[in-house]
Amino acid sequence: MSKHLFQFTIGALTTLSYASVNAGEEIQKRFIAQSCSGCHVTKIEEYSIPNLKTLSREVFASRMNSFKNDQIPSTVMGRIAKGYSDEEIILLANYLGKEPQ
Amino acid sequence: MTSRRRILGGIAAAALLPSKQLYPSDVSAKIIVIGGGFAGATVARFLKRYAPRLQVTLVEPNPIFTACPFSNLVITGQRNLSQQQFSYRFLEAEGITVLHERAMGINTETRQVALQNRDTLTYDKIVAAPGISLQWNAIQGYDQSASQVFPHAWLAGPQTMLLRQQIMDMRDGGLIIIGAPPNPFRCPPGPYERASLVANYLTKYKPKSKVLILDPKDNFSKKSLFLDAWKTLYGGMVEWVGASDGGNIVEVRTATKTIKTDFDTFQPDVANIIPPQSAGTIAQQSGFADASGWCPIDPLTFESNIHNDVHILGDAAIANAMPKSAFSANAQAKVCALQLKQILSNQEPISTTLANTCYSLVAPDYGISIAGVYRPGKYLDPVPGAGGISPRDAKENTRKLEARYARDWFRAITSQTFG
Repeated sequence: MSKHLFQFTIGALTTLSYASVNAGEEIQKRFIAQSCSGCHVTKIEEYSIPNLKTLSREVFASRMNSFKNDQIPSTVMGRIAKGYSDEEIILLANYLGKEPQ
Repeated sequence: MTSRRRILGGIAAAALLPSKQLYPSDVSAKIIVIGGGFAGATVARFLKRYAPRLQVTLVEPNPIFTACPFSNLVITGQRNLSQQQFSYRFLEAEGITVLHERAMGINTETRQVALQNRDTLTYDKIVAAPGISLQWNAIQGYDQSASQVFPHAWLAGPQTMLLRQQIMDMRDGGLIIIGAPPNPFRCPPGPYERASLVANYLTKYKPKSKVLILDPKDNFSKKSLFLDAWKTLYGGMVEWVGASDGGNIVEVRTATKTIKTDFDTFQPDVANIIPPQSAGTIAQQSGFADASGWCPIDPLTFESNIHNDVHILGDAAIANAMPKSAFSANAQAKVCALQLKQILSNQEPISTTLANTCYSLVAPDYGISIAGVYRPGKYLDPVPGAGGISPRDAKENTRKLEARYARDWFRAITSQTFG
C-alpha cells in the first residue's frame, strides 16, 4: 500500500526518477541531504531526534509532505519542510530513507 | 564566476554515465583549511571522506577546540567547560594533517600560507574558516585589557570562566549588564539566551538581582519569544533597552567600572560587553574581507569574490540571511566539500538547498528555535514561505521537547565535526 502511495507521489514528477542509476540525481541528492545530518544522525545512543534510516523512502516522503502542509504537528520540521519542493523531497527520501528490501 | 551559477540542468545528459565517472576517486590536490571550528573541521573531514586522495592540512593554533554553543550553561554553572572541549585526534586518525600553528599570511599569487613557525605551505585550494575577530576600541575604552574586567565571553574558553566567576561572586541584589553587539555578529540569539539563563540562575540563588541588556539594535532574533519568556519566567528581572530607548553603549571605563550609553551612566556589579565583530584576523590580513569587514562569496561554491581558489565558510563569510551559527557553518562546510570535489574533477558545481536551525534555551528545560531554508541567489537567499520561529502560543511540552532537541543537536553537531 505504502509503495503505491509513493509511486503516486513520484508519478507527478517528470524530471527525476526513482531509479538510482540516474547519476545526476545521485549527486544532487547527496548535496541536498547535507543540511539534514546537522541534527539527524544515526550513531548516537538515547537520541531524541528521529533516525531517518529507520524510515522507508515512502514514509519519509509522506511525512515531509505532511509537515509541509501542516497536516501533522511538529517543532521545527513544518518550518523547514516548507522550503523544499516536491522534487527535492523525493531526492531527500531516496538519499536518507531506508533502502528498499 | 557567473557561468558556474548554472544549475545542473542536464540531468538527462548525465544520466547514462556511471556514477563513478562523475565521482572519480582519484581527485588529488593540496587543500589547506584555515581554522578548526565547526566550519573548518567539518570541511577537512568531509573533503577526506568524499575524496580520500586529497591532501588535507588543517591549520589551527589551539590543540583543543572550545565550542560556543551551550557555553551559556557554563556561565551559569550548569555545564563544565570540559564538556565544550574537543580535540582533533579523530581528524588526524582519518588522515588529515593537523598543524597547531597560526597562519600569519596567505599569498594568493604564490598560493602560499606563512605560518608563525616560519614554515610555508603551498596549496591548490584554500578553505578559510577563521571565524570572527572582535573590534577592539569600537566602543571607547573596550580593548583587550578591558575584557579582563568586563568579559565578552564571545569566544568560549577563559572568557567564559571569567564571566562565570564574576556572576558566582556577585552579591544578591547586584546589577548585571549585557552589552549586545550590532549586526551582523556570531550567534544572533546568543546574547538573549545568555540573559535568560543568567536570570534563571539568579532566580534561584540571587533573586534580588537584575539583568539589563543594552542593545544598539531595536530588533533581535526570536525577540517576541524572548520577551514573552522573560515576562512569564523571570518577572521583571530581565530588562531590555533597545537603540531607540538609548541602549547603545558608547564608552566603558574599567577604572571606575562605569558603562555609558547615549543618555545614561551605569555602575553594574558585572558587565558582559559583546563588542562589534568582523571576519577573523587572517581573512582581513589576506584581503578576503570587503569594507564591511566580512568576506564576500559566491553563494554557490563559497569561493571568494575577491580571490580565486579561496573558499570561505562559516561566520567569516557574507551569507546574509543564513545566520552565523555552528549549524550554518557545518552545513556550508559539507556542501563546500562536495563542490570542491566537483570543481577539482572538472565538473559543474551543483546548486542545492541548505537549512539552518538555531535553538536557544530560555531555561534549562524551555527551548525555542528559529529555522530557515536557503538557496544560492544573490547571496544565500531565504526560500519564501519557509522558516521562522517557534509559535508564541506553544505548549509547555513543545518547549520541553525543543530544549531536549537543542541538547541532542549539540551532541550531533560536535560528534559529526570532532567525534
